[in-house]
Amino acid sequence: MLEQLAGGALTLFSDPLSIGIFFAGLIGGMLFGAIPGVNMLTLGAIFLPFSGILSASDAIMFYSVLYCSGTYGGAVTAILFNIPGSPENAPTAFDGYPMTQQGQAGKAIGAAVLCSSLGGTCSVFIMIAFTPLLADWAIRAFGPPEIFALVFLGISVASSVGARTLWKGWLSVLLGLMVATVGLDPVAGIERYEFGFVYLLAGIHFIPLILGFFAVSEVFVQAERRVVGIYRMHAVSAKLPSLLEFWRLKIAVIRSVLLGFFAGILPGIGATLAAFLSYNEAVRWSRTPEKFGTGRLEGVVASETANNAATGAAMIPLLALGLPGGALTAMMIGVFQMHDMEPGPLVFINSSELVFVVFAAMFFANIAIFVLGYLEVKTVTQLLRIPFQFLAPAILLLSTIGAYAVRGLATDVLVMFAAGIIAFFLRRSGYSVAGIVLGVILGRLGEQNFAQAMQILSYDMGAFISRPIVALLIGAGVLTIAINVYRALKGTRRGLGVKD
Amino acid sequence: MKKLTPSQWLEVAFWLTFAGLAYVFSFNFSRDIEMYKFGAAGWPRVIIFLIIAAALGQLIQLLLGRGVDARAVGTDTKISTVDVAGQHDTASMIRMGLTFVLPVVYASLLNYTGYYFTTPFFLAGYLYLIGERRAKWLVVVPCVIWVVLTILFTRFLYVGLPVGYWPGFYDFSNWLIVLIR
Repeated sequence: MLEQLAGGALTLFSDPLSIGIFFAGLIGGMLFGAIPGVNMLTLGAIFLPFSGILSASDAIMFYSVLYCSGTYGGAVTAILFNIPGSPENAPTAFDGYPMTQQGQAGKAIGAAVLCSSLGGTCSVFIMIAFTPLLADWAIRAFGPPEIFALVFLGISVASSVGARTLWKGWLSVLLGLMVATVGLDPVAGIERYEFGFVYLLAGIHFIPLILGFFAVSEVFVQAERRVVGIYRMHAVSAKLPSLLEFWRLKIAVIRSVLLGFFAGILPGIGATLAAFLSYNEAVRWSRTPEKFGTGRLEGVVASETANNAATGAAMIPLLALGLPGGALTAMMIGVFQMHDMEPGPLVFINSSELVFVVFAAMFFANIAIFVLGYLEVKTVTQLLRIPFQFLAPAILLLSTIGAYAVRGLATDVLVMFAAGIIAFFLRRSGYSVAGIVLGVILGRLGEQNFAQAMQILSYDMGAFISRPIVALLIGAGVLTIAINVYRALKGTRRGLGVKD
Repeated sequence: MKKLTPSQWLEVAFWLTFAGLAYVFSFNFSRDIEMYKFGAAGWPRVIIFLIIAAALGQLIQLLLGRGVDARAVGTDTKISTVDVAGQHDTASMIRMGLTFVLPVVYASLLNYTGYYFTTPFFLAGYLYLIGERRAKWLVVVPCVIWVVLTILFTRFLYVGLPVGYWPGFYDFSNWLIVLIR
C-alpha cells in the first residue's frame, strides 16, 4: 500500500503540469473557501469544462485538493469577522470569533490550520487503509432511520450551544427547525408557509441566514457600541497555540477525526453536519459546557478537525461505490464520466494509479495547508488592525454579494439583513443564533429521513427503535435531554455562553 | 414565586402567539399524502407543540426564580451588550434605528437601481451612521471598498450582480460591467 502511495506521489510530482494543477487547486480552494458568496463549488464549476482537456488523474486530483483546501479556507473569515466562508465553517465561528474579540485570533486560526491539516491527514490514512471495507459497511448499516437518529442526537445537543438558559436554547433550535419547514414538503412537494410568495416556495436558503445571523448581526452589535460611544478595538495577536494546549485537546481531536470521518462516509451528510455534530459532541463531553461559545479553543478544534476529516471520508463511497456524498463529489463523478470512466470497485483494479495519485494529492494538500496556513496566521490577522468603521461597510458589502450570488435573488439580500436584525435582538435576549442555524440545517435532513424511515418500516415504531444503531443514538439523545432538563429544573445550570 | 418583568411576559407571549399562528396556518397545507401517513403538517405541528412546551418551561423556570439572571452569568461580551442596552438616549436610538433601516432600504433598491449605482451611496451612508464624520474618509473608504470588491467579483470571479431594471440605472450598470470586463 505504501509503495503504491509513493508511486502516486512520484507520478504527481514528476510532471510540472500536475504540480501546477495541485497548487491551483490548493490556493484556489483556500481563496474561494474564504470569500463569502463564492466557494469551492464555484471554482469546481468554473473548472469543470476544462477538466476534459486534462488527463483523468490530473482532473480528479484537482478536485480532491480543492475539496481539502476549500473546506479549510472558510475558517479564516469565520474566526476573524464572524463570516463563515462556507456552511461547514459555521461552528468554527461559534468560538473562533469570540477568541478574536479576546485578542486571540492568531491562536484560533493556528488551531484551525493545525486541526484542518491533522483531520485531513488522518482521514487520508484511514481512507487508504479501509476504503472498500468501510464503504460497504457504512452504506449497508446507515439507512434513513439511522440518519434520522443521528440528526435527533445532533438536535438534542444543539439546545445547549450558546443560549442563556436551556429553554432559550431549545426555543432557538425549534425556531430553526420551524424555518426549515418553509417551502415544499420533502415527501409530496406540498407548499408550506409560503403565504403566496413564489420566493418562499424554494424555502429560505441557509447561506443568507448564516451571513445575517453571524456577519450582519455582529456589525450591528459593534455599530451599537460605536453609537453609544463604548466601542473598543480588538487586541490583535498572531500568537499560535502552544503544543501543550494541543496536547490537552488530544481526546477532542481524536473524537472529531472519528466523528468527521464517519459523517463524511455517509452520502448526503458531509462536512457541514460533521462539523456541527463534532462541535455538539465537544460540548456534550466537556466538564465546562457553559464556556462553549465564549471563546473555547476546543470549539474551533472540534469543528475544523471534523470538517476536514470528512473530506477524505467522502472519497470512500465515491471511489469504492460510485456514490457522491455531496456537490463536489458529484462533480467528480462528472469528471470520471468525461473521461469515460465509472467510479466503483473496478476503479481500484482498472485505474489503481489514478486512485493513488488522488490519495497522495490529498495527503500533500493537507500538509501544504499547514505550511501555507502558518504564513496566513502571521499575515491575515493584521486585517484586524483596520478600524471598525472602515471594516464594517466592507463586511456588509461582502455579505451582500455573498447572499445575492447564491441564487441571484435580491430577496436573499433582504432576508439576510432581516436575519441580521432579528439575530441582533435574539442575541440580546440570550437566544442562540448558533442553535437556530443548527435547527435550519438539521431540520430538512431530519424530516426527510424520518419520513423515509417511517415508509420503509411501515410506521412500526418498535421496528424503528429495535435497530441497534438507532437505539444507541436515540438513547444518547434522550439521555442528553433528560440530564439538561433535570439540571434546568434544579436550577443547577448556570447558562451557557451567549455568543454576542 | 417570582414576579416577572413585562419584557419576560412579552417574551413568553411572543412564543405562544408565534406557535399559535404557525398552528393556524398549518391548516393551509394539512392535506393527506397517499404515501405518507403523517401528511405535510405532521412534522411542523410536532415542532409547534415543542415550542409551546419550551415556552412554558421557560415561564415555569422564571416563576420559580431559577432562571439565570442576565447579569449573573456568561461572558464579558454578553455583559457589555446588556450594558449597551441601557445606555441609549433618544438620538442614539434614532441612529441605531437607521443602521437597521439603511441596509433594508439598500436591499430593497437593488432590483430597481442595481448594485453598481446604489452601493457607494449605501457604504458612505453607513459609514456616516456609525460615526465617521471626516469628509475625506466618507468619500475615499466607500470608493475603495466598492472598486476593489466590484472588480474582484465582476472581472475575476464573474459573479452576476444586480443591474437594476429602472431605465438609466440598467444602462449605467451594463456600461460599467462592459468597462470592467
